[in-house]
Amino acid sequence: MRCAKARKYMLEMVEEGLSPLLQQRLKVHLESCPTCQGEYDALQELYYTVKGLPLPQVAEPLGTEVLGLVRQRIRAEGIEPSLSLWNRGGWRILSLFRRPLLAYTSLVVIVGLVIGGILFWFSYSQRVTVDLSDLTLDEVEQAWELISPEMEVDMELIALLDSLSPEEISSFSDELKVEVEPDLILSEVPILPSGYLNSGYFYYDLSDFSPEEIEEIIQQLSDKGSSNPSPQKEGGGARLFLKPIDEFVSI
Amino acid sequence: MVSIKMKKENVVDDDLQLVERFKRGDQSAFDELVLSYQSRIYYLILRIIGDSDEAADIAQSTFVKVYRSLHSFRGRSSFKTWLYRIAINLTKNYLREKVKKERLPPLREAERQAEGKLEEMIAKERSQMLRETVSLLPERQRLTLILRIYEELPYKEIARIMGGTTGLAKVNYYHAINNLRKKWTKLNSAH
Repeated sequence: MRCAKARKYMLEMVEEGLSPLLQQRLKVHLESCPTCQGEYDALQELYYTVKGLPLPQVAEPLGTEVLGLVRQRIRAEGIEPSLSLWNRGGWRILSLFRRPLLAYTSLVVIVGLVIGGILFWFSYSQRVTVDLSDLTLDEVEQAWELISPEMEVDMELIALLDSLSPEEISSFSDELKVEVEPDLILSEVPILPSGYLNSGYFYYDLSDFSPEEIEEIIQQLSDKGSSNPSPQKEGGGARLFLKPIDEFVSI
Repeated sequence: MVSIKMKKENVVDDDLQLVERFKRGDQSAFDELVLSYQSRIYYLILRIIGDSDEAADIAQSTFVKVYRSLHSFRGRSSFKTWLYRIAINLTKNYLREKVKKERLPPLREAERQAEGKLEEMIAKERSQMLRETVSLLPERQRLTLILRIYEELPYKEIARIMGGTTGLAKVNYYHAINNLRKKWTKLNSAH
């Protein structure tokens, strides 16, 4: 063992905290190195002198008066044990987790799910109300394209709604999730991320419609001046942004 | 060695049982905790500040604080560590207030002055001189030294009480010993 290392271990040796192996090696070094032996002796003397320092003079030895005084103070100041949030019960669920890391991770996951859910709900349910009463269908279509190219199919819906009686509109407007006032074309249309339009949620298969019925739809749309009256979408299948199909058939 | 360890574990278990009893509303459990630790806390504070009246006052405040916040004690550390941390924090607050009130020079300045007073100190008894030398160590080193030498706490527990890492506690202790050693050597050579 070298002197530098020996100095490093001296204090631990004095405190009797050194492993037997290192103790042995240090002892061997001290026996062969008078300088280190001198330092070790001085350190040992210092340690035990400090350890043996008497306490400052106390007028009276401490009895049990601390407890009495503490109790007195608690009474005088009306101190009550304060219950933590934990003990009030709200956070007791976390006590299921004895490991803090697990508890924190769970908390982060739960918070993440809640925030994710809120963000999803906002993005899903974001709606706009557009008053289209003063516009022609061509103008409306242009406006929709400006707002979102994904919404062009709604033109067909608007055109179709325009052809229905107020009673027919109100009968299924709830299910369409579209607010419609018969006298003006007022549409509240969900704006969704592009992927959702292809999710099947807003597209409905019209394959059960007879060609005559589909022709009638197209005709109605054409009569209203839609620039794109055809409901032919998505790979040639007859699809239209409308629900429910049964009620549509009854037109 | 085994029996000492078992004894320590028993003390820890006893403390936790008392804490649980207090949390369930048993006031006598608090009294038992005070009786079991009052001397140690009092003498720990006394060794740090050197004034018996003030030490008794801070010891009282420590237990009042324990009474108030024992419900928030989770048992992550031992009750003793938690209690010592409260006592040390209150003592540190007291020392800071005292420095402010008396406008004492900051510790580094006090250290420099102590160097100047060394000759004067030589006239005093050695243990008294050594105690003064300890009292002039920087606060963190001094508290670490006291917790290590007199309370014989492991570095890990000192770190929990003082805040900081185990390594930092060790470094503070080594610095304290080194500072003392230098001054001790000067004192001895002057003799």
